[in-house]
This record gives sequence, structure tokens and C-alpha cells, in this order.
Amino acid sequence: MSAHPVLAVEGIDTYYGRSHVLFDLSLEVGAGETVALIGNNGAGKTTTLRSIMGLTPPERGRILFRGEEIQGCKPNEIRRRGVSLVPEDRRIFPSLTVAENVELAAAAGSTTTDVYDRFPVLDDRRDQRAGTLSGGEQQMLAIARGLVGPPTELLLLDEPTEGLAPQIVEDVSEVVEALTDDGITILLVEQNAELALELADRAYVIETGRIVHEAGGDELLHDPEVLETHLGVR
Amino acid sequence: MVGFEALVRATILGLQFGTTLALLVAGLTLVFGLMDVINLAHGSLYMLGAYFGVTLVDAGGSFWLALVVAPVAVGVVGLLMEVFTLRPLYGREPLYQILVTLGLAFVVEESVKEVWGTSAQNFAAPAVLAGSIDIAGVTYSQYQAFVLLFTTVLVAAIWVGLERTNVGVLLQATAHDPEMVDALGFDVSRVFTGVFAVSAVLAGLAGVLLGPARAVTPSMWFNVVLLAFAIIVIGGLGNFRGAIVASLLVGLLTGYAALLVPSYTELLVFALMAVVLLVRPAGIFGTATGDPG
Repeated sequence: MSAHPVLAVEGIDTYYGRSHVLFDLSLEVGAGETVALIGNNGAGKTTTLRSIMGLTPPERGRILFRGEEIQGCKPNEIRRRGVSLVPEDRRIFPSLTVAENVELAAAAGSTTTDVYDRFPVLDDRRDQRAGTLSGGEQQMLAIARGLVGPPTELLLLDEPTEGLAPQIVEDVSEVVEALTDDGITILLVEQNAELALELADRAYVIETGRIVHEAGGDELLHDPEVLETHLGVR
Repeated sequence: MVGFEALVRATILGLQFGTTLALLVAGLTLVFGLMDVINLAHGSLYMLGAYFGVTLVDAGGSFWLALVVAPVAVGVVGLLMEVFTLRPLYGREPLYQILVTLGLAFVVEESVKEVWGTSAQNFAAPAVLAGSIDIAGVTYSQYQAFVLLFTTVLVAAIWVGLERTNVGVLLQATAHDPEMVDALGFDVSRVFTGVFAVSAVLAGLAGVLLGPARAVTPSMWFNVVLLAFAIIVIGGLGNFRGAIVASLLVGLLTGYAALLVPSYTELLVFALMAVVLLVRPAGIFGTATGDPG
């Protein structure tokens, strides 16, 4: 087993312009783990993922992927090293077909995983424009796109169930569980704290850009004080 | 009374001018659609194509050599422009890029005056195309027919390339969301450099092709860049399909105006632009969201 965690974020401070968003934030994700980052709207969850991916680089602190610093790298370099982001709002390319979305992502690397086996719903819609898919199908496409191309060791999932109907949320949850079973390391950002804690091995609670709590997913799920104080769940 | 023969001639000449404009505008609209850069130096790249063509032909090279070498040389100039002057400005207000490219246009104009002088220069069409050809009972120069055919094939190839190839898919995705394309593993800054260089090659090619038909002067960039921007406004900013259709429209309008009201040719183009802006502010093919088409 590697001595290094797959991901180690060490004391990062991230800004949007002059606005200080993340304060001395640290977290770790071990190999094969699913770690949730939960918190209220505006707490800094998405900014944390953007910092790791190099889209909003931190001004201080270090981000190590498999023990190597990546905080100065461009997003495309970070992707080629094995970190993949499935962003908030999916950000698929709506005017391209499903197949073109998948093939484009695949062209950036060598992974030939047949995502259509994992996501049969996409197989039926290969020639359909991505913008015309339902919300759930678009989310499946966004996850599929994150799995092809350069080999993915760490998947950053940003609000994968946002805006989806309960039945579709269940489908997405099953996909996340299947990915975990396949040994993919996941850092999951979710506003739906209960769902995130059910899926995660461990979780961090973030509040106004600071990590305020860390524990096992089950532990947090059954800690009424944490749920009520930090997440407004009663 | 304008005869049928004159109308056919105006149509063919208008189409020939339109397809050459399409070549010029294709690059400009790709650069805007992908990079959000309003490249006011695009006309200068066209002018450099014409001057490089003149030099190569004068130096004893053939027109065909000039047709290949001059656009490539302009492509290298474009590549250097993008890397050293535009790349540091990405993410800033569009005004920075407008000012830089306008400055570059004046730098190129002054450099051209230093190297080639201020007087107009011409280069002859290749001897093999010096004759005439009969189309629908109307006689044209073989060179004009060649330009029409060559530019039509090239523009069609670019169109198919954008719609049907992997590179086209990458460019469509980059136009929609460059940050996401970068996060998928593509170096978007290289995509930008490549697109800008290809855009320069196309502008240079248009310069070489129109060189034998027009006087080559240090100020030729200005009218062309105005015309090119009128076309992309008419077609829809950053919309490739719109740019091609608008180029053909403007080419035909120019052809007919030259026949019927030659003094008002340019006025009519800008009047068309004004009408389109009033009726469809986003351009004929434009959308409020700026879909690259």
C-alpha cells in the first residue's frame, strides 16, 4: 500500500478576486475511500473541488496527489495525472451528441472503458443531443465523461444529485456505490447531507470556508448535534 | 437597362468575392467564437499574405509557391502574435484585446511601409490562368474561376471539418465551455494558439488570392477588417455558419452594387448590417447565448 494518501489538501487559502473563500483548509482522502464534504450553501464545497482541480488555484497551502504537489498545475495536467471532476450543473456540451461528449473526453487519454455498459441509458441515446437529455441522464453522461480519457484514480463529484427527482437520486447513488466497489477513490460534495453520509466512509463538515468537523460517515449520520448545528438537519 | 449577361457576370463575381471573404471571415469568427477575442489585426494578416505573395512572386517564385508559402508564413506571424501579445491578456476585459490588436494592426502597417514602401504593388495571376473561360455564355478570366472554385472547396472543407471531425467537436466544445474542456485533459491554451494560427493562415491565403485582383497597399487592411466585422455582425457574432452565409450575401450584394450603383457599394454593405441589427440584433444566425453554430 502506498505511504501517501491519494489526496492531501494541506492548509489551503483560496480567493475569488479579493474575496477570501477557503481558510487554512485541510483534508485527506485515502485510496479506495469515499469521502464526503458536506456543508450549507456557500460554505466553500465547490471552491474546494475547484482548488484541487486547478480551476481556482489556492494562494497558499499545498495539494498533494499521490504525494506529488499539484497546486501549481493547470487543470489539464491535473486531469492527465488521474484526477477527474464531475462538476456542479454537469456542464456537458449540449449541442454535441452523447457519443460526441463521451468520445471527446476519451480522446484526452487512453482509457477505453466501455462506459455504455455501466450506463445503458446512454447507450440508447448515443446520437441524441446532450442538451435534450433529462436531468438524470445528463448527470449520468457527466459521470461517464469523467471516467473516460486519462485513467481516473480520484473522482471529484460535485453535487451529483442536485435538482434530480427522488427516483433518479437513487439511480445516481447506485452509480456512486458501484464506482466505490470498483475501487475508485471519490471525494463527494453534497448538499444532501444524509445521502452523502450514507455513501461515504468518512466525511468533513465545512462551514464558511473552514473544516469544522471530521468523522466517519455513520458517526456523523447518527450525531444529532452535528446534523443540527452544522447542517440544519433535524 | 442591365442585360442578363451582366447580371450573370455580377453573380459569379459576387460569389467569387463572397467565398474569398468567407475564407477571411472564417478565421476571424472562429477566433471570436472560441477565444472571445475581437482581432482587429486580422486585416493586417490578410495584408501580410498579399505582401508575402508579391515578394515571393517578384523573387522568381511561382504564384503556386506563393499560394503555399505566404499563408504559412502569415500563420507563423499569427502564432507569435497570439503567444506573445494575446495569451497574457486572456481573462481580462475585452477592451485589452481590442487595444492590443488595434496596436498590432498599426505596427504591421508601419512595418509594411518600411519594408515595401508606400506605393501600391501588384502581382500577376499565374500564366496558366491568364486566359478566359466561358460560363453560361459569359466570359470570365480563368483566374477568377479558379479563385471561386478553390475558395468554395476550401470553405466547404472547413465547414465539414468543423461539423464532422474530432477536431471540429473539440472546437465546438471549447467554444461552449473552455474551462471544462481544459478539465477534461486538453490544453486549451494550445487549442487557442492553433486556432489563431490557422485563422492567420486563412487570412494570408485570402490575401494571396485577392492580390492579383486588387492593389496591394499598406492601408488595405483597414477596409477589409471593417468589411469582415460587418459580415460577422450580419451572420451572428462568433457563429461560423452565419459568417459563411453572410460572406456570400455581402459578396453578392457587392457584385450587384458594383453593376448597378457602383458609388454606393460599401454604403449598401453597412446599410445591410444596420438593417440586420435592427431586425435581428444577434445577427441572422446568432442566438442570445452566442451559440457558435
